[in-house]
Amino acid sequence: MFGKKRRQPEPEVDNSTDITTEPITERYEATTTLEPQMPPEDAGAADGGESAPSCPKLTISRGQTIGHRKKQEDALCHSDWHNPDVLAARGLIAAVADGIGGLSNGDIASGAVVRCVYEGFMKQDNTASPSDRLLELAAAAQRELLDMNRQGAHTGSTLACVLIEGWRMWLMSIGDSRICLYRTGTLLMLNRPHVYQTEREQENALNGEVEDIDARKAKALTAYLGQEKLRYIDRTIQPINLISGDRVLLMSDGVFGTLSEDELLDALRQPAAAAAGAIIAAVEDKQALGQDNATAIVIGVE
Amino acid sequence: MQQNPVQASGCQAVGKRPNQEDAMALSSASLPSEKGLLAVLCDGMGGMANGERFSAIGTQEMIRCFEESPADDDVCGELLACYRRANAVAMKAQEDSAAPRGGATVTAALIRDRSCAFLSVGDSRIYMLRGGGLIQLTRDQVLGDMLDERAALGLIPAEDAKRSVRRDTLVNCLGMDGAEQCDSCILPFRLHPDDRIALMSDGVYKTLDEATLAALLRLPVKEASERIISETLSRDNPRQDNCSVLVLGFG
Repeated sequence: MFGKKRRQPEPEVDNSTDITTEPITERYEATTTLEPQMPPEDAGAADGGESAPSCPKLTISRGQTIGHRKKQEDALCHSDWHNPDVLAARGLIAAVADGIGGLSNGDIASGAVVRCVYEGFMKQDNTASPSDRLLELAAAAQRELLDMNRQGAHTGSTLACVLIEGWRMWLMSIGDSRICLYRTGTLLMLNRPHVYQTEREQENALNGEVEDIDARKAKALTAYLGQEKLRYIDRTIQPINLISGDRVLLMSDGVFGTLSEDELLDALRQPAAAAAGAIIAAVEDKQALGQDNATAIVIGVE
Repeated sequence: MQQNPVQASGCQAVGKRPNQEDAMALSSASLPSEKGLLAVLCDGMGGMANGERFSAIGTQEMIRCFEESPADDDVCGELLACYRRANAVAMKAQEDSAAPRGGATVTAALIRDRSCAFLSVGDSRIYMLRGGGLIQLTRDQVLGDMLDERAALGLIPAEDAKRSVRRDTLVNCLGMDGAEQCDSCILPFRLHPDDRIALMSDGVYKTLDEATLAALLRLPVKEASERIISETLSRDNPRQDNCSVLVLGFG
């Protein structure tokens, strides 16, 4: 669907449903960028304070591998990060969706989710608050999946999504995909994954109970788009303040289930334009048995 | 392994209220180093005496439970267990009291082995300053955000959500039974030596903007906590609530 190192035009939505013709080892490299990469540390810019320009320079890279699965059920999308006018009018959206493998049509679900997110975003202006805009996108995707399920699709998807306006970022997450912030050489998970094991452990700790959690259910999702009664939406109301040098990482469980924190950090030290490709390369190099679909988006902030 | 001790400093003011219903506490510095440090900040509610009483229960019982129990490999679980014990004491106090019901927010950060785990119920906040940029780690557990979600999903009219007079109502607090889940990190995260963690009540963050908070948190911890409170009071907010901040540094 989009080849290696091809610059323009790039598809804004990677709907995984129509990439079945790709060889399964195809690795989507970072789109190269014309801008200089990783300028040397500049004392004033690191503060993000008065000296910082009103808008950061953003660089996006993305990567995906099908792993050892028959289908690619992850999907991703992001808006145009080259065009300052689009950035000024709407900001930037980026999203990873992981279609639920246990259910049928996971690829259709994740494709529908990123399409709803992208198309919805392109119809929005920036009058509503970013957190409300994100909610609106989730609601549109939820309506779409519920419609599909009422027609018998029996499907669902995660959504991990960020909206960036200037130096400020808002996030929203449903399911177990993750959003992390790489800063000062450390990694911070920003969202709260909706996973059965975590929920049981929390409830047990709060109730003072001990329970052997059923291993088969441990990774089951407690919330996902397509769930008849959507139980949780994790989102930030206040913005996260970005600074120069930040990398924002969105990933499906095929990435963090295979790579350790240190391995992720190694890949994130690469220039932003190469980081997502480096992450997927690291996943593939592991040759993990039964490797799940893996998807990563890295947003570099300079 | 040689570790620099955690630096911690708290500061608070009554503001324009008749009494101080916020409370803060740190675990003992004489605990074995593998236990680490627990910092707790609570904002009491339910009328004067009740507010003080429940914020004191929150801080004291969290710290007592932490100090009495052995270090657990599951740091997040250990924090939740401390909250469970504190909430049990709060529920008992609720029953024993003829006074109207009280409650308290609880924010807690556990620093161990150069990592941090946190927990929050209610609308007090934990912020992290990293690389000069401020990040709110906790989610405010308030009804308004929940109503917005229901409205977006078409379950209630949008107008009802935006106009509700209960938007600031807490969906969870210490002393509330049948509470929603705590807001808690699922994994401790590694700290950078220059990071700052700050626990604070709404009396601070509703008066000071984030840019001011970020600038003040860059100061050494003692100066940071004192300046945050003096800056809050200097805004002369006629309805200034109790304001408290607890700043942790790791350099």
